[in-house]
Amino acid sequence: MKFLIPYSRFLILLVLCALISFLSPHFLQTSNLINILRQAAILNILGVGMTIVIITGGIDLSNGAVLALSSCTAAILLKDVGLPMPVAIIAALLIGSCCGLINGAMVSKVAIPPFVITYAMMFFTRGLAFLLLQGKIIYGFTPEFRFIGTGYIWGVPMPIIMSAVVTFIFIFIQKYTPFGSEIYAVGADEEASMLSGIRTKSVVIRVYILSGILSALAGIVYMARLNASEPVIGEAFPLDAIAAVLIGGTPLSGGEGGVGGTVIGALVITIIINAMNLLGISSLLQTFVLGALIIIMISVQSHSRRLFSLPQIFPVNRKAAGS
Amino acid sequence: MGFKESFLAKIRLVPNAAYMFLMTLLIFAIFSPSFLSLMNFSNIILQSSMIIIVALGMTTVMLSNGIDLSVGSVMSLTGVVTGHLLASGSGFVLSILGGIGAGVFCGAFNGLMIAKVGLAPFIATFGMMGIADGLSLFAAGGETLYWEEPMFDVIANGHFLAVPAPVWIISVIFFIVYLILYKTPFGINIFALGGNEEGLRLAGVRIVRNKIGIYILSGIIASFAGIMLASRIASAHPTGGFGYEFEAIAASVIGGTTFFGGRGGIVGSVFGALIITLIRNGLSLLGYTTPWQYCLIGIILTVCVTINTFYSR
Amino acid sequence: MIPRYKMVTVLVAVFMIVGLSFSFATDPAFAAGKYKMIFIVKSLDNPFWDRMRSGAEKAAKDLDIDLKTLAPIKPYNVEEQLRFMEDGITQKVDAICVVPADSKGIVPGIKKANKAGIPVVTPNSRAYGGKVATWTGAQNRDVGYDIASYALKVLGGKGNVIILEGTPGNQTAIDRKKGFDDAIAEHPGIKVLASQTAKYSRVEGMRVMENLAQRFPKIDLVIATNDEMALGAVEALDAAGRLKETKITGFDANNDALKSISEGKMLATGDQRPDAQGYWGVVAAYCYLEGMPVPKDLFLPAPVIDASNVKQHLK
Repeated sequence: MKFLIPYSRFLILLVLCALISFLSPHFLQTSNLINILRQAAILNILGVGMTIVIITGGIDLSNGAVLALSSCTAAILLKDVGLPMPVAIIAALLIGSCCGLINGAMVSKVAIPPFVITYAMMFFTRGLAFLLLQGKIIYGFTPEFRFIGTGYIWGVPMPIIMSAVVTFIFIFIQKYTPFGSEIYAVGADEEASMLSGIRTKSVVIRVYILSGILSALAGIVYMARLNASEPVIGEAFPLDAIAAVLIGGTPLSGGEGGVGGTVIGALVITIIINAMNLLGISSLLQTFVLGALIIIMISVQSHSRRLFSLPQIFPVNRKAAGS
Repeated sequence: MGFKESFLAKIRLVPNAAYMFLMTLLIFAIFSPSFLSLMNFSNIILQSSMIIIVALGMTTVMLSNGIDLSVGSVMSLTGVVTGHLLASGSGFVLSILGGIGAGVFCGAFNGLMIAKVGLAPFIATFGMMGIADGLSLFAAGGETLYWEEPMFDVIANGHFLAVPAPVWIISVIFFIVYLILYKTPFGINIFALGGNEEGLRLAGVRIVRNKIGIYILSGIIASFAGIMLASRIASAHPTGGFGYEFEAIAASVIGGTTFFGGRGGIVGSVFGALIITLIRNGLSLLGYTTPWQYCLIGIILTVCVTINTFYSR
Repeated sequence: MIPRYKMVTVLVAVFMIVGLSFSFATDPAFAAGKYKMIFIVKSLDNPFWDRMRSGAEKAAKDLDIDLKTLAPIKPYNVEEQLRFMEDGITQKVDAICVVPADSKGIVPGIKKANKAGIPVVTPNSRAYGGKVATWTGAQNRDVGYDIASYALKVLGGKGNVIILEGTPGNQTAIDRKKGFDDAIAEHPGIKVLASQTAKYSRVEGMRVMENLAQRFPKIDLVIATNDEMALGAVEALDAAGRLKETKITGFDANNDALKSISEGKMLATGDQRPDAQGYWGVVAAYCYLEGMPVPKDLFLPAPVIDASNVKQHLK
């Protein structure tokens, strides 16, 4: 049995699925599983951004608000100003990276705690989104744009493809690029990383910029799927993304973990909500179930890790560059 | 030290938040005609009462290098429990005790998960946030609770010796927390947990017991805030406390407490909470709509924390 | 390290400059109108309140009233509404129009306004206490009943129904659902498959509908307590290719819903006419201030809108 332990997170996911399919025959239907993957896609994209931020020992509370602001901007550019799709998308990504830049700069240069600056950024960008849209909802985009959210390539829904592409890119970054190792090094020990020649401030800034870009990307997929854009979207996202990362095994202290785990975390959360809908669990109890399950899952994980002290499901890249 | 030196030393101990508070006060006083009125100050105190109370609890937890994300949901749950008891005629005292009991329960659970199971405080209290929220919704049947109990209304709306009741209540809570933090061994342990947990463990202090105590304290304080909220809006809304945990953290951070425990203080947090409320109130009086308030709160928060960071080096 | 006093001086200067620019950049707190009023809605996140706001502002323009509309940052948060009322009292406004997020929770604020001699008007939702000059609106329960009855009649009194509830604890959602339940009780051939919350949000409506569509292969009708959730359900069923066999109703008559009805995607919605509620609320406050008699309740008829009359409502 011991050989199964490195895959503990994956196992928990399988156990969860088995349990639910036992309780509800609809769970394992192909269309339901595709639904789950599609619903988890946006959370996954945000989760990837959150993962790299948390690995450096930080946190990003502003991703929901940045998602809203960038999607509202894109919506206005698309409908009111009439700009072509690529321009609007690039504009949205630019906004995401600007917000990320500010976050990263404040964290690394001014040494403001990430929690606080991203919390402040959350307020600021949310306010901007409201001011931009003045209480309206922008509705109805072109079919080409909507393809991003509702289209299929080779039978696979677009959101799933985008989320998979993002995941693979970042797994590649974290495992095979120097930047990846630098992220882990900074999270594990910033002092030592600086002394071994890593430009820690630049790493931190880049990480937040990436988180901002991913939030904007998620915003684009979101509005394409929903066919609407409004300033209030994404309120729950920061906490959900953090939950996905934590369930995925990346600790808040940073320095370890990885994007692969976050995928599982996002799936777990989405599956639980899906199951609650399928099983008809009273709406009133849904937060209770989610909270309790998160605690149970993370307890099980941390205990199994401690019992056997084994590495994560996707091996962690801990080499400090230059050592 | 001579008198002058000790006085100057005490001045240096005044948290930055106090200066920022004065400055914010001045700005709004100059630019807003209706700001400087007794009625407005009375309002500000009422409006800030919940944040101040929750911030006191949050600061205590943060000083021990922890965090309690569940305080908002505990506030809601307390309101619902107290509301049920009041509505069923259990009377003023029993209902409040019931509410506080909810806070103790949640705090104890938090403490156990953190100290015994070893979960990180963020995760444990994050899970508790969902649990308490769900319990609160379920217990309230998804509806708002109401009651008839004039004595309960006094908590937020009454006056004693011409001073609003919340001022008295906040002062008492502040005093108690101050005593606990600075005059008891428990308080010393709280600071020590924040600075050097290993050292404390090696010194033979029962870490588990202390940690559970800290989170129970946080839960109790959160339930006080929940009772205050329920009294202020004369009802118990199952998600009424939503968002207070973040405001409490912001207030503590503006006040100078950091996430690494050990530094900062409750005095700063009170000022931090007041600053947040002041900004909302002042902007409202100046005629700013909500979206502008959002943006400005973000900017001012950043400015305040930047000042704090520069001055703690 | 910059000495503290220098830093403080610089900051004060910065704040002063910023503060000065505040007053020039935006509207002054209250311009010169005949009366000053504040209009407090329930939240910023629904076009319903936006329509009410424009109705109120139209009345303000017609009557030369200086009106400020406010909404809580946390949606449906009665504590923030209380704060707005208190601040309004401090600024000595002439009248307060407030849509109570909580019918009893708002009472302390109303009592304070009463004590200050400021009349209070409550459009759309009632307040259970304090002295209120007038209430304008439609009954949520009744309109809910009307919409559901209409939809059930279209179904011929038999079929599978799913209810999408609003935000848990929200009084409007509770009232509307009661209307649905009452209508359903009159049709024994109707089976309620599920009643789940989609928190008044479009994306939640979409997600819940996707999950429920998995579980129930045959859904004849989806009744939602607001348009946003209904529109989300439309998107979900459309993507699954099941829009033809399922009828969907909403509530609020927001623009997107009206478009959806005219495209044949949604069956019906109910129009509470929030703009009229806002408009007449302000007018009622004005009348009160002018000393004219004002009725305690101003009922505004709320039509059910379907494909037959949607054209006249589309803007």
